[in-house]
Amino acid sequence: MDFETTLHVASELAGAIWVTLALAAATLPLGFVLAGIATWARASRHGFLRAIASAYVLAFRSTPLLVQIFVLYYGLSQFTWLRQSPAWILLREPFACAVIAMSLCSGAYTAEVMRGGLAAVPKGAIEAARALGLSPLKVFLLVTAPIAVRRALPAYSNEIVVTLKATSLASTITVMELTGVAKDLMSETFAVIQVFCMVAAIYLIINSALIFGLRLLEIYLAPPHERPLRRQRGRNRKAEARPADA
Amino acid sequence: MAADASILQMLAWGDQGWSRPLLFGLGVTIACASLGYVLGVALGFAIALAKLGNNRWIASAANLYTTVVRGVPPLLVIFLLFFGTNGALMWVARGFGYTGYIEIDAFTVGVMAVTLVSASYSSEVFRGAHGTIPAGQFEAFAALGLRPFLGLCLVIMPQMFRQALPGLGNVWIMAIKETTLLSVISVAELMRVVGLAGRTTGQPFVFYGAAAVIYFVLVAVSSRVFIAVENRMRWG
Amino acid sequence: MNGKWTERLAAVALAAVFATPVSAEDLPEVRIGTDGGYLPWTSMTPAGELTGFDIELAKLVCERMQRNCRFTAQPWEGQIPALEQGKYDILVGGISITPERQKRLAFTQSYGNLPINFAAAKSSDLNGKSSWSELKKALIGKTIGVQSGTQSQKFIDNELKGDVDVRLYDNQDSLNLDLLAGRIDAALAGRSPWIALTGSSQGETVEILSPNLDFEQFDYLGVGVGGLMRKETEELRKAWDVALCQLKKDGEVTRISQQWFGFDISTKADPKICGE
Repeated sequence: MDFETTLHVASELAGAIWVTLALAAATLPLGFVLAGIATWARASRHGFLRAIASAYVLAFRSTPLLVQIFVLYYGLSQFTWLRQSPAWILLREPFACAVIAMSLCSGAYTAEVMRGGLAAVPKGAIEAARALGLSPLKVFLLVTAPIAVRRALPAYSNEIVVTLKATSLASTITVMELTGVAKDLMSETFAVIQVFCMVAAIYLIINSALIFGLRLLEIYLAPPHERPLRRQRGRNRKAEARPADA
Repeated sequence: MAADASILQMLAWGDQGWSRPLLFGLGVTIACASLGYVLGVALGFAIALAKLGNNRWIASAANLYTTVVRGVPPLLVIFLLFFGTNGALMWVARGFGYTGYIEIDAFTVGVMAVTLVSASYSSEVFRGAHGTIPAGQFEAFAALGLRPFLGLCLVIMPQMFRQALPGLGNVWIMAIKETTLLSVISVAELMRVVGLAGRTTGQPFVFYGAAAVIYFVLVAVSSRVFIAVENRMRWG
Repeated sequence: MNGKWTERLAAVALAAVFATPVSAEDLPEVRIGTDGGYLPWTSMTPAGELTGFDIELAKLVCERMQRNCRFTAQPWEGQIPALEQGKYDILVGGISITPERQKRLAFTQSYGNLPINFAAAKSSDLNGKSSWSELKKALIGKTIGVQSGTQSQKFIDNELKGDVDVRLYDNQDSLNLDLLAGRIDAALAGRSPWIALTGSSQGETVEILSPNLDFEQFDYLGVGVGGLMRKETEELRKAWDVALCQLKKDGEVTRISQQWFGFDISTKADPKICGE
């Protein structure tokens, strides 16, 4: 690969980094909110709500993300009534479709992470808080949530990395993010290995930066007496980790 | 009502319906996933041994491999193999003096992609399983006078596999899901057939929906099987 | 009817005269690569047999050359490397003759030419423009879909880059779906897929936009389609060209073109190759 091609490849890729980051940045908060709702519904007193939430989590965890994206993008667009409805403003945009599909999927996996975190909260702590006369909301905000967040953070970091990788699927519905641009460059320049190394390096740098940042957050959130005990995190991570993004 | 009837016709068996191509696609999906999975688990076991071994260089090469493959999207790995393997293979062959044409078909590329990705994940599963075996076990077989290799085979490995089983189940489900990505390089697996059917009939929703159901069932059956095997190994 | 009948008789007679057992046996078979998924140039029947304009034409060329030919279907993306590495002797299937390709590879003479066209919904304000400059003005700010790696993509890069929002598709079918759904305002492709789409019941809301865009106005679009070969297989290229000259003069190219496109896409015999 000569210098000119390298420069061309690098500049094309640099432009696509923002698309990838934007996809992840839009997906994660939405997925988190969906997961919050699902977790709340799964703990609800109404069997109906519990059933819907469980079905949602099961369905989106058991089907490939690519299928979900295609159902949403190509599948729904076949209906004329939908194309005439206000929802079409969002669904006609490939970027929005990618974000919606990925958020739904990420929400289902994040709901499992949340459940794991909540399950790790010692019963005794909640009972103690109740005994102190705190209202249920306060018990949740002051006792349950902080412990659960700390317990769930390693698994959630994993989910963030998985989501970042999953953004590559947006290229199948015309969103030109890193992987889509890389594919174009590979077929155009035939400098396959070089393009791959550059794109892989970009993904690895973004991932490492995210993991590093989240580690710092974990250490910051850990109570002082737990800080040196790093081994515990590993165990928790394995329990709820989403195996892959495909 | 007319639409319902035509949907039934589309999914029917025979020349007009798409059932036969769908079933064929499902066959390719399962073949690709299981070949890639078996090879991947074998490779993953070797990589795990490399990581646990005494040679620092081999161990760091193995770690680099898992970091890279787990750190980049599987779709990118697929494109690398799709656009890269032919050239690489011919380059190697030239070194041996062979100048003819060699080609790797899309299915093989697909199997390779599933293999590479499942190898990296299963190597981590094996390493984790190895970590759960108490140090006393190693000491015990050493005390019995077993040589390290024999001890590894007779004492450690059976326990390792039992510990690794849930993780390996996840890798299998991941392998099934990964095969959907192979449709982008024209492997005639389920997702590709479904896309083709959806586009030619103008009913993408029906066919992608059918795909969702099929994958759901595949994953559900797989998890059941793995749980059954786990239970059997626990009590057997 | 009469013309066709005599043509067939002539073909049979020719075949009988030239079908001496010498040449076909001595020369190795010609390995032809083609996409098989690009109607009406090259396509595959449900039974798995290759068919299409380029396939029919190549079969006639092989007949005239007295050579055995073997067709292999392979997706377009991997074809050029496979040709360069020697898997095929020639590639056919609506391959545009372009200067870049000519740098590394050789083409037979052009045997057909189709313009590229924009297509849009019938209700679109892009309809009814008489010249390219008018259409271009109307296109600014619109979202345009195009299949990646095609002449159409190059056209957009050259003429409209920065002025329109471009969406790239892997295949024509997905492009059609999004055009029908209204996700893109217009799409650019060769004229033939638009004819197929507008002729189908799904595509009745779509219209092919004028003007036709071709090499007379935009020379980089190429002088049509040809067979793609390696530069060193000079002899095969010459034989192929001679056969094409005969087929053009006999009106065979026009006949197959009528059959597959419904109109004549054939280009005139190149006087430099065929003589007068």
